[in-house]
Formats: sequence, structure tokens, C-alpha cells
Amino acid sequence: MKHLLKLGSIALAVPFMLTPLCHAQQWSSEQNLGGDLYGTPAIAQIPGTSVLQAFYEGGDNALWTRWRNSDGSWSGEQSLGGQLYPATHGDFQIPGYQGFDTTPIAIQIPNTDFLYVFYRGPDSTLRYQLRDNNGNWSGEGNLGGSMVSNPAAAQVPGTDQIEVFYQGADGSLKTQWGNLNSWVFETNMGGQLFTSSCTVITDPYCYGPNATPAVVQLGGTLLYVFYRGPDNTLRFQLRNQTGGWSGEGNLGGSR
Amino acid sequence: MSDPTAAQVPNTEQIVVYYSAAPLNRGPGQLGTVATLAAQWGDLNYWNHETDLSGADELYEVYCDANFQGCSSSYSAPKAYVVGNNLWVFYRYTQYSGVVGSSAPGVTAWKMSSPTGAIGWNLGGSFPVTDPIAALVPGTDNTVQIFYVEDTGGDNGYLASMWYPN
Repeated sequence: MKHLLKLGSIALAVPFMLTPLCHAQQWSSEQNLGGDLYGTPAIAQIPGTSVLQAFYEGGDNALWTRWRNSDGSWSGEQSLGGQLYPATHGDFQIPGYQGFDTTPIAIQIPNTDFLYVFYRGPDSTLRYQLRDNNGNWSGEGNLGGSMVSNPAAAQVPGTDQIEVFYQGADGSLKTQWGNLNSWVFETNMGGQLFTSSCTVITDPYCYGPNATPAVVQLGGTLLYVFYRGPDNTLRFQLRNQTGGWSGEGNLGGSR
Repeated sequence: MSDPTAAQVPNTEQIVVYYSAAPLNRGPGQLGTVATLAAQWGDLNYWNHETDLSGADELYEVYCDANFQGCSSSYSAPKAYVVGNNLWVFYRYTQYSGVVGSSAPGVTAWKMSSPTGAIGWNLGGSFPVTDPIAALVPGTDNTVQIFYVEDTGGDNGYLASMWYPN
């Protein structure tokens, strides 16, 4: 975040589809919730409660949290410990480090009030912390693997399992999945994600950090994983109703 | 393109994917080019390939060269959420895309009525350095709250938030 120059107040050229100013008042003004964040937060409703909780990397690279109480007030910061991959915002000369945020992901285990928070560890393993239904935190666990992106996660349709996706060290899509009772460690799904490995930073195809996938359910039976390909095309893999995976498809859109 | 974001379109059996699509001629010699919000959507049987969303053409991006030590090469990767019955897309906007060292002056929110139809707001902000994430405010049906990091001048920032409706 450093070394960016604030340009001061900027008069907006409002795109024609944007609402008139009077409608902007339907949004609240910005509220400063404080904290000391070194990456993009994750946000989740704590299962079985009306509490909204944020998780993020702190200056000591540990997982920090604060939460919105049911009355709308916010807690102070609390460290959950552990170690996240160090934030690397500034050094554009190191491939893969350009503007990289270490961003955790929080997901409820289906049919339980347990919450997993996953993140990339300093040794690029998949790490987690688990909140049980009594509000106790597990401390950090390590699921191994070798990840070069942030994780994405979703419920496996029709099951009580969750599945985590990320870019592996070889640039392919990797996954791990399970629930409270069992866990399947890193498995290769093939395909190829964008890897920020160029040394010529002005090459548009070098632009940005390693690709992190996005995952979404469709109709409660299908699971799509989308990601940026090495040639800037939109690529995907699809889990069908019977649990089989499609292999990589390419939706184009290269620019 | 940026990393994509995906969501199921409410009340349909379609998925929509959004991402930031920059012009082909992007580069330090083409300062002032802007990134557009692109969409692809469909289902198992039919897929609509890349379409730019009219009016959503000022996504934040900044790239660096060797003359600007320590520059953060970065861009906005939009985020899509279904909150209550509504599909939302959020990102950082700028009028100064491509300028080395430029800032992202604020946050843009789109409330989608279809994969490519929307009303939107430029919500401002001081100096957002992450794209917004969003969640349903517990105990409400459709109140969306967004969270992002505002810069404090160092490597860190503070947690900032807005919500709708106020």
C-alpha cells in the first residue's frame, strides 16, 4: 500500500448509468472501523449467531479479527495467532509479488455451526483455524500442499463437505476437501492458471499477481471454478451432478 | 484481465462471471487507457461470451516500470455477491488508470437487475487499497454492508465500511 500517491480530491466524471446524486444518499457514509490491516479481509456471519466477523492479516502476519455485534457496534481487534504468507505489496521486481494480498476465506461447514478460516501460510501450505459451535478457536492447523495464490472455497453440492481451490506451485488448479471427520489433501485438477512469472513488468501479459480462482454453485447441484488463464482467457472447470469434473474449458475473452 | 468473480443470477439458473478487462494497447506508453467491467454468463446449455458493461469503464489499474522504484502494480478485481435477493458488483474506480503511482479515489457499487443491467453508485472513499467485500447484515433481508481497507500511508490500512440502504 505504500508508495502510492494520493492525488487529493478528484472530481468524478460519473458514467451515465450511475444514479443521480440524490440516490447516493441511500448508501451510508463511510465508517472507520479501525484496525491495522495488511491485506484484504474476509467476512462471514458466525454460524448460529447474528454476528458478522472480519478476518485479516495483521502486521505480525498473524490472523486478526474483529466483529460486528448484534447491536451494530464493533469489537476491538483480537489476534487468533497463526502465520499468513507475508504481504508483498511493493516489490514489482520479484515475480509473483506484484500487489499480492494475502486474503483468507471463511466458510461454514454444512449442517454444523463450525466455521473454517483458510489461508496461505508463510511456507505456501494451506492453513486453517476452526471455530466450534461454542465459540472456541482451534489454533492453527496445517493441511500441507503448495499454493501460490489465495484460496477459494465452497460447499460441495449435495454433501456436507467443503472444498478449497487454489493455484499450485506448478500453475495448475489444486484442491483439498472434507468436513469435520475426514479430509482429502492436495489433489491436482490440471488446467493452467495465470502465473506472474515475467521479468518484463511492462508486458501486459505479466500484469497482476498469480491468479486466484473463483468458485460458485449453480442450482444447488453444479459447481463451477473460474480462473484467469496464462493467456488472459477466462477458463473454468465444472463439477457435474454425479461428482465428475469436466477438465479445463476455455471461455475466451482474451485481452 | 483480472481474477474473475462469479455468482448465480437470483431467480434464474444462470451464472454470471465479471472481471476487469483492460484495453489491448495497455502499457506505459498509453497512459489514460481505462479498464472496463466485462461479463460472461450462461448455463450448461448456452453461454454468452464477453460483453463490456456500458458505463462501467473506469476500473482502477496502475502499472509500474523500472523508473518508479517500489511502485505497487495493481488493479481492481471486481467482486460479485448475492445479498438477499439482489446481485451486487463492487470494485474500485479511477479516472487516472495507467498512471504510475496513481490512487483509486473510491468505490463503485452496481446493483444488477440482469447480468448486464444495473444501477450504480460512485461511493467515494479516501484512498481504498483493496476491493470491497460484502455481506448481508444479519437480521435484515437485503441490507448489504461492504468492507475494504483505507490506506494510512504505510503498508497497512484501517477497515472501512458502508452499507445500503442506510
